[in-house]
Amino acid sequence: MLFNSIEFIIFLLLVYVLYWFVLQKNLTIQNFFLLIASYVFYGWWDWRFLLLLILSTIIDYSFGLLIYRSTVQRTKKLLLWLSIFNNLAILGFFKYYNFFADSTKVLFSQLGMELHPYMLSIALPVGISFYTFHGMSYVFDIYNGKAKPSTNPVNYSVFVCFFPLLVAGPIERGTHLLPQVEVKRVFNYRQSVDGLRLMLWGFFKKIVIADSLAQLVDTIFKTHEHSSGLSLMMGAVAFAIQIYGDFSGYSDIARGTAKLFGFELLINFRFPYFSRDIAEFWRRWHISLSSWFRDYLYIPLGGSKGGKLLSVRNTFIIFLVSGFWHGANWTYIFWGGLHAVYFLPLLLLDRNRKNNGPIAENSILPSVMDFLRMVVTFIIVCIAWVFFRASSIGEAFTYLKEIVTHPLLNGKEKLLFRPYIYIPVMLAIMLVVEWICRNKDDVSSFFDVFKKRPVRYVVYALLCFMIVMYGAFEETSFIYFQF
Amino acid sequence: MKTFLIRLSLFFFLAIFVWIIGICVLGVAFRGILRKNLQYSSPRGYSLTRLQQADTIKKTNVLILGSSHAYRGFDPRIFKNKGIDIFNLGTSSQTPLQTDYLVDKYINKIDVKYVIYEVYYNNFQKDGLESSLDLIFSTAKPDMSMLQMLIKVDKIKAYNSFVYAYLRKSVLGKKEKLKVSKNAEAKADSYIPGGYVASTLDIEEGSPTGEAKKLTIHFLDMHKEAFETTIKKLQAKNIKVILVQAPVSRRDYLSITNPDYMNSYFSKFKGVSYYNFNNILPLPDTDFLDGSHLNQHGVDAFNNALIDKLKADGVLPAKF
Repeated sequence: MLFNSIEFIIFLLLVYVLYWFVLQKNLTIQNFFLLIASYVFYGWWDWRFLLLLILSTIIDYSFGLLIYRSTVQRTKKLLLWLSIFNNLAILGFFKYYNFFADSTKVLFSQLGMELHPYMLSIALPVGISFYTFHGMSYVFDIYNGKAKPSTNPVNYSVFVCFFPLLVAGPIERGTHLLPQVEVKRVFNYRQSVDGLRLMLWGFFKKIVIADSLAQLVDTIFKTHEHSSGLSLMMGAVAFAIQIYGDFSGYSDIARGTAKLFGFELLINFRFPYFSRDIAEFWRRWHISLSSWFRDYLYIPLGGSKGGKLLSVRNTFIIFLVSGFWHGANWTYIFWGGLHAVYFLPLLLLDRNRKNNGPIAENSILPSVMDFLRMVVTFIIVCIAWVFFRASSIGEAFTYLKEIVTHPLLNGKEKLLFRPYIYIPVMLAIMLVVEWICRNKDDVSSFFDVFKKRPVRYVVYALLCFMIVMYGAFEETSFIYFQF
Repeated sequence: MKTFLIRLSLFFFLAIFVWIIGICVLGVAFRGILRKNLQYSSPRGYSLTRLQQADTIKKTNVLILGSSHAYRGFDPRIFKNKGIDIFNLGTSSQTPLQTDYLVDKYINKIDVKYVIYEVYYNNFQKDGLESSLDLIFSTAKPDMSMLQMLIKVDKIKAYNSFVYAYLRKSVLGKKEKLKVSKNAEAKADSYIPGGYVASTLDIEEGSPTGEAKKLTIHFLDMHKEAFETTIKKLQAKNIKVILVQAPVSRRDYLSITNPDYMNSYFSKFKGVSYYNFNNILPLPDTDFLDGSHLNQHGVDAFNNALIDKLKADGVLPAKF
């Protein structure tokens, strides 16, 4: 079930009414109901993969209990490795098997040997990378003594499968979400209003910005051989904005939906395109994933405590693994590697913690230097996105080469960009609102600028109107569903 | 909680009000992509003129239903020469959903005993938006039955355009005027009373070029349902239904990988005759003005063959 579908709106209304009006008195029943609703939400796409989700949940829950109850450190460690193996086996089989089989085939063919590995013809279960990471973080936290296992399998299942975050995050932690599942939720007016505001903003970014740009990006990337330099540049920039609108829009809708049910999810985006360097970008982009890798991979590997060389090695490892997490394609690994290369000078010069606070913290506009840093960061991020979007590394290099070698204009730009002339206005709205909120966690507080309630309601209604008038309503899937 | 729900309900009504006002403002002030999900302009195909004429028709021998293949493929002048009075109720890209809507609207107003339903295969696969927008602009007064049809099409552009049309026509009482586009193709068209659109384009100007992509036909369930409902309605009124496929270019027809799928579907209806003129009368490319529409020479050949065939088979009486 997609957030941007009528089915979801109906589903949400039904679940909301039953959750607050019928089942509020009994926490156990309320949580059980949330679990069933989450399974319905997931099974709407393909009920067969529900079994995989349930299996993954049972395995991690059991390992969590076993690790906690074990008194011998060696046994704990063995159980931890078994749990990691189970999770990676599920992920590896469904997500990466064909990639490895195909890569092996290519490698052997380059050595002059023919290999015909068996290829799987199964769909990638939606959200598999997200829910396996939920489970793994839970087991890690128990092993590290940061959390106690849940004694209630239903509560644990809700933590893994809660429908707003099930298919594309934010990647939650047992230490953050599970305690919220275990206590009775009380309706909070302010939280519900913030939830609706976030959902509205998320829909705007997804339906108006991302889905509209998707058509332009698809056209330019499909016909890059015949596109002008300007069109290719615009294609790269448009994809950068599309993927931001798509994924941060999803995260806003997910966080907003969770708020309606009394839950607070982790913040996933803090206006990443206002970053002044790549380190700041990664503190603001897909925060729940980067912090996951920091806590469960970078730090266990030694982090930055073992000297520069170890720090560089660990940085490359987490960026490459993070790239690979996104998908079974060399393009994602290259994308991760490229970000590691971007990161390297900052790391070597100890400047990766320089821009910790928000940009232009005490002024309306950034300084010239900050503005230039922001532009440069955006440009290098856009270059990396070309590798993320292209179907192969070779195609990405060709695309980037064509930006320089193709004529800047070829006369087809008017025809190409004409259907999108309303987009700059929509982008300006997004940019202004997010710039105003750059010191905040999200845009929900933006609406408080309008002090009088009727004015605020008219602003919400205008935003709804813009979605209805300028949105692309083809129920396109969210980009991160494929990961 | 109570306050939250009350305010949410109030906001819901405010949002609808802002939506309506916004549609009015954008509809009046902007054109084209600046009002992206609102389309309200005179399309090609003379649907406005045709439906205005349809509102005045009381009786005809044969009613033609279908898409542009109907209004560009069945010439009332040729039928008249053979003693048959027809009215062509075809509209651009008309899918079975819109056909059913038009049948509901006109079948009790027009006294007719025969219906030729032109079943162009592509229109059973389309989303129905183009035809809905055509009807929204061309219908004198958008009504509830149109809204019911639009709910099945379920496109935001159709809803926005419907609201705008409703406000213009039903609230403000405005009547639309036909505006013919200035491009060469539109200029070549002329409206012939009886619902037909004649084109002076010939093969040199609009001939199909290149190889057609292979096409596997799969009819949408919503269209099959609407189509079957229409047939039942017509049969319930003792109207003889004749399904006809007007010829398309050989290039287009031969690109279909599964012609049996549609032929067996259209042949399955009891008491309904089905004629696929792509098989009965394959026409050369010189009889087309583009890949799928006949030019006047092609229409002459097709209509004469059709009338002769229907009379010979006893589907139409020798004399009306």
